[in-house]
Parts: sequence; C-alpha cells; structure tokens
Amino acid sequence: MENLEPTNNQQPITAPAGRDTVLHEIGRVIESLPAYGKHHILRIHAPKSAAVIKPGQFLHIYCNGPIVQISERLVDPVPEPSGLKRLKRKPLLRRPISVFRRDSDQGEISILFRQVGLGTEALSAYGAGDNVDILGPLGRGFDLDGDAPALLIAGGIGIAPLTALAAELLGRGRSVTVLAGMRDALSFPLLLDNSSTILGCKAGIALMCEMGAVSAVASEAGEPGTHPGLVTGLLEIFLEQERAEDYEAFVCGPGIMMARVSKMLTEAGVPGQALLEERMGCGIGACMACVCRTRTRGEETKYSRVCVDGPVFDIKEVVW
Amino acid sequence: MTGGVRTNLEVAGVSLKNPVLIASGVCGYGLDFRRLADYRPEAVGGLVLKGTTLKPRDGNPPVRLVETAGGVLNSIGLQNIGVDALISDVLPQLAGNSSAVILNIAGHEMGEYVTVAERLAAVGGFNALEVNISCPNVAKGGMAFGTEPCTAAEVIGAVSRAVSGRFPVIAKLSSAAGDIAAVGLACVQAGADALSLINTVPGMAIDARRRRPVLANGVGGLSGPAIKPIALLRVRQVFLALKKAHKNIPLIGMGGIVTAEDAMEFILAGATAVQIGTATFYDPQIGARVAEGLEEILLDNYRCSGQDKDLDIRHYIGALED
Repeated sequence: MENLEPTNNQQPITAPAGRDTVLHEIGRVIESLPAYGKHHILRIHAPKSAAVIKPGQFLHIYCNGPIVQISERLVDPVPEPSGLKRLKRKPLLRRPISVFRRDSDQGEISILFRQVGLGTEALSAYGAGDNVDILGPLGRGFDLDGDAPALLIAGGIGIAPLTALAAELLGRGRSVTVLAGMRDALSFPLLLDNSSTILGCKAGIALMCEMGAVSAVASEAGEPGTHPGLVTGLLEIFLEQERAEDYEAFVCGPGIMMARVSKMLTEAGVPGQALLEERMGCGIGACMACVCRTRTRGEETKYSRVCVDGPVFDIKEVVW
Repeated sequence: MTGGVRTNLEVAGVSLKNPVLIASGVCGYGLDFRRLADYRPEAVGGLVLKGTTLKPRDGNPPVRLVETAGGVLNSIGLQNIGVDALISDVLPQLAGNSSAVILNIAGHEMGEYVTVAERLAAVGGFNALEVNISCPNVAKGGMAFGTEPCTAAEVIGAVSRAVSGRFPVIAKLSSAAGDIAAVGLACVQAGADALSLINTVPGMAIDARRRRPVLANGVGGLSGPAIKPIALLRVRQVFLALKKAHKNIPLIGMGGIVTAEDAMEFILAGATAVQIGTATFYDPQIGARVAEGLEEILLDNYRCSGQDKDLDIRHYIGALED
C-alpha cells in the first residue's frame, strides 16, 4: 500500500486565502425529531452559522456536549445534553455534517442524518434546549454560478445536503429535477407522495414538490409507484428522454453510486458536481486525513483534502 | 496572567511563553488555523509543523483515520509538500509568528534527513528542528531508525552535524522502542538538544463485518487519551535514565493531553514542555485553554501553600515524588 513515489504536481497547499472564516458557535437545539428508520432531524438555533453557510459546505459538530465543558475553570459551564448520559461510549472527534435546511431569517439550521456510528448516535440523543458546539462553515460548497436547469441525483442520505441545495437553486429561479435512490422506504429519510409523473415514475418526494421541484424515486425494494431498482436506472431513462447536456448535475450519495452516476453523466456530456464524504480529523485542512484522488492535468493525479479542496468536486476532477 | 505566575521557560535555548506546543501533524504548516475567527496563536508556546521530507509525498490511500475507544488511529503516510515548498511557500508566511515555530523532518534513508536538515538550517526562519525517527506509517518512515539505539544515534548524529549548532535538534522518540531510555540516551550522546516523546503507538482497527482492517494501510498510529498512561511512563523512564546519566537535556512530553491537569502530569513526570495533538481536532483552541489552565493550577497551588516557588512552572519539572 506504501506509495513512495514522490509527486511533483501538487498544488501549493499552503494558501488558505479565499476560504471562509471559521466561526465557533454554541447553537441550541429547538427540536429533535426521530425520522424514518434510523434517521434523525435536529433543528438548531445557530444564527451565526445560518447566516453564512452555503449549500455543500458542512458544519463540524462536537457530539459530546459543548467544548467549553472541558475547561470549566475558565468559562461558565454550559450544561451537557442529558441524553448523552445514556450512551455506552462517547465520541471524541467532531463529525462533519451538512445542512439539510436553513432559515437565515430565523437563525435556524436543520441537520438530517442517519445513525451509523458513535457520533450520529450521540447527536440523536440531543434534545430541545441542549447546546451544540459547532465549527463552521467549512469546505468548498457547490458552485452556483451556472444558470442551466439543475439535475439533482441523490443516493440514500445524500438527499439531505441536496435538499438545502434545491431550496437555494429554486430561490435563484433555476428549475430543479431530483432523482433519488433508496434501498426501501424505511431507509429513506423523507416522505414520498404519489403525484409525480416524470420518467414514468409516480413516486416523488413530498418536500421537493412543496418547494417547487419535480422528483422521482427509485427503490431497490420496489415500493408501488417507485422506479424499481437503482437511481442509475432512473438516470438512464432521463438521459434517453431529455436533452441532458442542457442540464447541470449535482450528485451526493454512497461512493459507488457517485462513481457510476459520474461516469454516466460524463459519457452523456452532462457537467456535474459531486459532494464527497470522508472520515475527518480537523476539518480545516491541517491533518491530511480526509483525502480523495483527484486529477490535476492530463493523467496526473494527487490526493486532495475533502475538507478544504472539497467536499464538492467537479465530477471530472475525481478519480472514482 | 498577573499574580506573579510564571509559565514561560526555555527548552534547548528556545524561549517559550508557555510550555504548551501544538504537535506535528495536527496543525499542518501553521496556516490553516488562521481561518478560525477566534484563533489566538500567541496563546501557545509554539507550533510543530507537519513532518517534511526531501520530495513532496503523496501519503497513504484513504481510509487514513478512524476514531477508536478514547483515541484516534491514523495512517496519513507523511503526505507533505516537500522541503523546497516548505522553504519557499511556508516559512516566509511564518516570519514574525507570535510563538515559536519548530519544523519536523522525516526521511526514509539517512541521506534524506541530512539533506533536508542542511537546507533548512541554511535558510533559517524557525526556532528548532524536530527529527521524526518514529513515524509508524511509512515503511521506512523513521520508526525503523527510532526503535534501536544505534540507528537512532546514527540519524541524530548526522542531523546534528548537518545543523552544526545553528538550531536545536529535538529527537522524536517512538513508544515502540524496546528500551526507550536507551534510545533516548543514545540520541543525547549523538547530539540531540532535546527529546520529544511519544509518537503515536502502532495499532490497528478492524471492520468485522467486512473482515478487513479499517485503515487502507492496515496499520496506523494510535493517539489521544487512550495512550496517556503509556506516554507518562515513557517520559518518566527517559527522565530518570537521563538523570542517572547526569544528562541535563529537556524532554517534551506528549500523548493524550486534553486538559491542563494532563499537561501538569507530564511536567511532573519530567517534561519541560508538552505537545498537544489529537485534542486540537475537536478543539482548535485547546492549546490556549491548557496554557491558561496551567496558570490556574499554579495559582491554586500557591493559594494553598503560600510558597512563591509554586507560582513557577519550572519548579514542577520532574518533581514527581516516587
């Protein structure tokens, strides 16, 4: 596994210029909502973060009470979330979590996550009134400068950041089409409705309809109304039926799904951006833990940091 | 801090405003933290920059990091920009840094350490050189040098000659050494001006469902609170060995420090200064918090004892009562 070959093509990684100032905020949980399956939504009053975070950026959330707790000598102690006491083990590191919905007027953000480990388990133990320690905004979000109709492609929980993106794009007057894949209805965090008519698929996402986007859902379990199978099946139909090259794609989901989707899009001449996920240490670019392989020019590749060079990358830039 | 508290001191001739340093690997090249709105670089004693090799290195494939019980296992594989970029792009930006800047160098053969040390010593713009002879994450990334006294002494001796007194040389020791005291002594005899310890502890994490190691490299280095008792013992062992050999060489202790109390434990065990690594991941301000917490501890002790010496951090170094 050892790679001793030096590379001379690395971009200087020493200039953090142009990247956002990172704020430290103690937010407060307004509402903690268990959602479908192992999903959970936290509505958090965090006005500083809500004011500045852009779709695709993430918050680095400490899932073990407020940091100031560690140094009670210096700061008035902030109460620890009582739900944490039930946990067998507590997480040490922050967890990178993208924003699901944002209301900057109310100073509110919502996060939607699936319980997959220590961090998300701890976060789901937070209740109304609990303090949440947040660092952010972090990372490079989606490039929203285009004006083409948007094609959002989500796999599973990847729908969470794409929901915030859909809201932003619709607000900018762009048309939004969402293709979402799920294993089964319980593994999908959002409510479906059956009023959709695109791509021969009845099932759409209720929230997307409300916001003014059109959507279609593929399900491996094949629930009535859904497109039976993978989201790539839906994308195949879309690519056949639509002038896809007129669209700009935005992708988020499991790595293998993003790899396949990116390949299909690139072959069809559709430009796109993908939001990647990787285990992180610091979240601000210092520790080099969360890397992915990217192309620099031609066949040359390098490891880029998901936390600062991403998490959003051009789909052609990533070596899938 | 008022009230006559003294936490500033010297380590191998480097003046530190307090004994708290940020460890190599967690603060990059010292520039990323500057994006933090409430960053206070002046509140720590110094930064130890990312381990740098002769050529840029790509590092290991991901997954590179995983949280384990009470700690973090990592296998970055020394991804770094190489010494030329360090000199041309980084050091100018750190000129006038409000705390000490310590560079960390690594290599996979003796000649590489020497060349990197020579180039850096020739340009300057930093306060000390930490030599990584203990990285567990690259095949020849140093740990092979750091586990045996003779090879450790060979590397440290060669680097010391290359630097020839222009900058203090700090040897970073491995917990994996069979006899860490012997390795430490050998480094001191070879010319090390200080020793830092411990580097991460070799370990592995397994994904039982996939029947595979979690880290792509298989093996990684464990850090965080889980390793603190190991690190404290190592610091104590090396401190006592140096004392017995009448070598007055400072130690820089690290391994799982999260609070000021943790830092004080390392100082009592024999460390003159400490480094904080993993905890900066969740709290980038941890260095400042620990430094301020140390002042509080001194003040508390003074209030109890009424003795002036309890206000001076230097009186705590190695003061453990066995």
